[in-house]
Amino acid sequence: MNKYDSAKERRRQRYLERIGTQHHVCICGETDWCTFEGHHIAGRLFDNHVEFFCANCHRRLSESQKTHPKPISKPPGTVESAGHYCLGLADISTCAARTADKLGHQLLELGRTDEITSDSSRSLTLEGGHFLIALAMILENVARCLEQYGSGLCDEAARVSASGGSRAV
Amino acid sequence: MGAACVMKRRGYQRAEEVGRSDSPRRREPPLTGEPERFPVALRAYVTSGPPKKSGNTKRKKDAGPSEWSLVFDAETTIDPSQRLRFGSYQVRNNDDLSERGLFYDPDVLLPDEQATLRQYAQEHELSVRTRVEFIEDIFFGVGYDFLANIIGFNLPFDISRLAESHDSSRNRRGSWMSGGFTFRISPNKWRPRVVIMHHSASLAFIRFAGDPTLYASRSSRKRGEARIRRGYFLDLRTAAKALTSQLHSLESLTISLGVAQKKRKSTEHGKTLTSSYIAYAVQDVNATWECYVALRERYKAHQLRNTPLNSIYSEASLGKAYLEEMGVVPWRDAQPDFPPEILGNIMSAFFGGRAEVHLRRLITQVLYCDFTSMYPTVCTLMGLWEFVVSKGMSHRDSTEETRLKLKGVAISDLQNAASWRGLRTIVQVQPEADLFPVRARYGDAHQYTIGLNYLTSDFPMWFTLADCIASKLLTGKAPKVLKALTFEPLGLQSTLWPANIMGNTDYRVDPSKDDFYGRLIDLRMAVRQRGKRAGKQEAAKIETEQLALKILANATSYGIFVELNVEELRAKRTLRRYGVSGKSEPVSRDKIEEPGRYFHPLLGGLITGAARLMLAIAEARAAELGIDWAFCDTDSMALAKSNGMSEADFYSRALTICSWFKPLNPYSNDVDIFKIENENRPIKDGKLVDGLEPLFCYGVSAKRYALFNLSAHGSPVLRKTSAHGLGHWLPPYGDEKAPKAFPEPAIELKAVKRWQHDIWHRIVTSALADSDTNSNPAAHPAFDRPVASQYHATKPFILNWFKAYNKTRRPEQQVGPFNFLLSFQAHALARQADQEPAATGRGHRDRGSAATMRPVAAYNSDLLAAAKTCFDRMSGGAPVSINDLATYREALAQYHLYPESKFLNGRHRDRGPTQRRHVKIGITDIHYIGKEANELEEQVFFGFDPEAQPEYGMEDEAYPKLLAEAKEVLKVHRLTTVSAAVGVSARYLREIRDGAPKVRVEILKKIERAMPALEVVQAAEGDRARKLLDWARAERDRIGLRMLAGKLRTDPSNLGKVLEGSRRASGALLASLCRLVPLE
Repeated sequence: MNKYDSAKERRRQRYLERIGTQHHVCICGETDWCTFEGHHIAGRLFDNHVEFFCANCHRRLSESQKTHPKPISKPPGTVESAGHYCLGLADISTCAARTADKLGHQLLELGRTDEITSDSSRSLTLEGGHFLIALAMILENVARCLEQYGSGLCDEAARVSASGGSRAV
Repeated sequence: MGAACVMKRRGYQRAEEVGRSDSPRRREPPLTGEPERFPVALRAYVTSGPPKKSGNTKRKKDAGPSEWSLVFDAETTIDPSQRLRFGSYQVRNNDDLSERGLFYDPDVLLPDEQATLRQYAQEHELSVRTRVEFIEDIFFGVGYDFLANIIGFNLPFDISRLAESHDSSRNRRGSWMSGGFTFRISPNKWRPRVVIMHHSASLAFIRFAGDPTLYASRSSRKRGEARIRRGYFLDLRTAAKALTSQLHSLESLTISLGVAQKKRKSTEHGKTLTSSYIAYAVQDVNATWECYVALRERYKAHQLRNTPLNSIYSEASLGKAYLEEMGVVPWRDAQPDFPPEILGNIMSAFFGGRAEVHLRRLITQVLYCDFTSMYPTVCTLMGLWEFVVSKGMSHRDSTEETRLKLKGVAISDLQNAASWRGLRTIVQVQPEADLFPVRARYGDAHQYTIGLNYLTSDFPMWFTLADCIASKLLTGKAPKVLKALTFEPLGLQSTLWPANIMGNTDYRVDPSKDDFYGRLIDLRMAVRQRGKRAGKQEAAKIETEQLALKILANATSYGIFVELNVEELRAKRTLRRYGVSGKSEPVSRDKIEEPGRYFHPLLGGLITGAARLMLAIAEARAAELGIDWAFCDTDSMALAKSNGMSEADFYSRALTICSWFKPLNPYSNDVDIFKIENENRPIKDGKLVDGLEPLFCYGVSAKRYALFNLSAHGSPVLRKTSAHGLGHWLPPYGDEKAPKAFPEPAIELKAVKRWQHDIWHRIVTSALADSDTNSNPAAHPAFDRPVASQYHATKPFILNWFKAYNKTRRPEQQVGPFNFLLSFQAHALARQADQEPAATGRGHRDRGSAATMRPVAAYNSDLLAAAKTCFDRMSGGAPVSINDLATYREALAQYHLYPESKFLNGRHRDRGPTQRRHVKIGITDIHYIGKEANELEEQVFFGFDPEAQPEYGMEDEAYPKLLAEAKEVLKVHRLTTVSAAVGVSARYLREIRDGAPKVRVEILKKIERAMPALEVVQAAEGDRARKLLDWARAERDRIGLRMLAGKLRTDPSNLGKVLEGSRRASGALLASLCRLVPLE
């Protein structure tokens, strides 16, 4: 290994250490470590919880965050933060559901071709495919619920704020 | 000559001479003799505050090691400094070899040797680096920067070879890493240090350490996330011990795991470097890597995804990982507010397993039996798993119920398995000559040992209900119950989840429904059955599974519940101590016992208590059936044939005892709970066959015994021998180099070395010839060399012994951390070792005392050469002549006479049945202690260390009593006599007598200990004084009072009063009388 490769590996390990896992994979299936970026699930204003996604997904999620309700108070209250957190999770669940559905169908297709010769591998592939499709459906439903709860919580925070309640709800 | 004939003619006849009874006994013999007082120790619960919640949620999750691995091994010089010469390494990425190479120390390898090394590297396409390059580019470049797994066999030794300098690790917070070594490995100041904390022969904690703000990036410092990487060190010695339950060398590990690359043997250590020696070093690394892969695969089979192999430190870690996998919340987390007062009571009722010899130094025919998986069995019988998976435990007062139960309990009641669930009780009793485990310093011993003895106490004490029942069974008298607490689990935890043992769905355990221990033993038995039917290839796999199940059952059924880790603090701290009275009392100590994750003292106490009850049942049944027992050891007992009983009758009665336990089988398989061991089976053509062959026993003391058959010629054929008291010494000769005069072992040796077998063979042969008392088992030229033990400088205090040695040598010649060292014995000590093991301390006390001379030397493969450089570590480096060193012959002279001090008839030359002592104690005799096995390893090698064991003083109530007793002593005895006896000035003793405000407990204990000696002195002095005064009275009548007073230069009035008996004679008067009338 030359000094450039060595330096690159050092950077990689440092970055993976920051991410907190050696088995990094984005919800879209991306595994290249250098594309990973930290994303505030609820938005920087509302919570410090950061998870790592590939740059594309991060862009998409950040874009989606711009459609979330505007901040009501500074610093935000617990209810408002919880609302934004739910909305952030809903966005992630939607993306993950899309990937699970896509991979599930790919696995089903693969299981039906002659490329897999062993019976046990075929049954495992088909099982995996069905599982991912089922998971995709569950994640979509979860995303819907989270969106509803998130919006509800944000509305509740706005309502209390408008009625002159506690400054940070 | 037949075996029976030999026995009749020789040793066995002696059993009658020493008074063994032929008639069946129902219970213990009646109590005889005066009660004795000994210092008695009880375990205390000591805490610094409420338990810490395990699992810090704020800490960032550890990502674990990367796909990189670094394997390395170092070869050293063989002089005392053991410096690095060269080493071999491999760097792997995802198991693919990325780089392999050699590294060397240019200051140690000669230019010619460096050329040899380079040539070898060129021929085999290896990289070559100097030590500094290896450290920077590989050790830190890969090991630290790439977060690699740093793999080695005995890593502390290899890492310390790379180090530039070392120091003792100090942590201001009193971390568990304090007391270890810290190494500066790299000259680069930006590289962290490595801290190594030795724990045991198989375990050392290793991590990178340093000030995080120095090594972390600027951005992480700004974010407040600066922390040091701890690194991922994997010592295969540790992993192998945890996964195979055996302590391996690299050679034995390669054989055990069946890897392709075996460790080679070399005789070129320390010689001029050759290609073959380099190949040997390279092969070592290959073997290490393959062992790692094999162990990793074995661990992977467990499917414990939440615990990396680096975190598996022992079998107990494996057990804990399974508990975590099943979502079991530790009891201390589930119920942090459990009253510490009750924990104090529980801890005071905790005693370890029972190990005793009953027929001492007698040759007896026995049937050697043991209990199947004793601890898992009693756990299942008592339903203790319910406590492990419960949200906590409740306690209720069950005094009346327990009284009735104890009053009416009969041995037959215990045959009902369901009745064992009623033993989840601890009882406060007023011991009145009841048989209880007593942890005491018997016979002026320095160490506490546990013996089942008659106990009378004027202070209430706690024992488990199982111990109380055992006392009732053996004495026929129920202990007086003052209070009883019964414990019940508090409902199931909600986090439980089924787990597949070894990832096998057939071995599924549902913690909420199954009894974990019962299920594991059932599975193990089923696997063993399958193994008997399996082919050779499958049998190996099944054996691995069987072993894993065994390890898991043993690891989770006892040790983890009483795990306490002793940490040394930098300064004293005030802790709260809870003991037998349940009161909270402050104690100031510089050590703290941190409970393990699954600490649950109730379970620990109940398990050992129930195990002792099992042994008591076997003992009581044996007495009922008129047979005896030779020894017992935690889970085994050797039932002994009584005199005049036929062999068939003995076997029939012994088998009745075994079958008595059948109904207690808690498993679904049909197993014998008290089963006959393989040592009783005959061997034909090297294989065990069915049937029973007469087995004989010669027991010396607890854990020191030999089991043997007799050949047709009447010579012993050893079947099992104990290495207890021998295992720490270096073999005087190798297994293949035994003197030809010593007969070859008739069967393959398992747990003992050849020389240990030979010692026992000679002991048993002497016993058969009735000459064991005066014969020395090591009286042979093979044992005429200095006796030595080999150890490492594993802790800074051990290395400190070499301060004076190192002072006169250049840095590269000095003894460093983890270097091998040799410990010898001095003549006088060798003579006394078995009688009075001298307290050794850590080298900063008792300096210069001849009685505590402890010779040590830097390691040298030539023991005689090492012996010549020997010095006394207690006196700071005074040289010891080789003539002052004890030989094996001397050290082992009394091995077979080792006293069983905890019982009567257990002194050196005593023979025959030991008798239980009657121990009578008051509150001033009770001392509180912590973990008994703390630093046990160092104590085995270097002798008893009184500072190792945490001591927590006495009950507060004991102080006024002790003071009053001391004052009484000082009033009765002359202060000068007491002063001489206790080593405290007479002036201070007068102050104590007249009411000094605060007297140290140690001084009061000294006075208390001196009482028996003072009484003897007083009796002798009284006799002498009476004679003197009688003479004076006669002289007064002859010459008159005034004349006599003149001769004595004393006041006539005072003399008159003394002679009339109205005044005590002063010392000065008696001295004057003495001068006047010299008495015989």
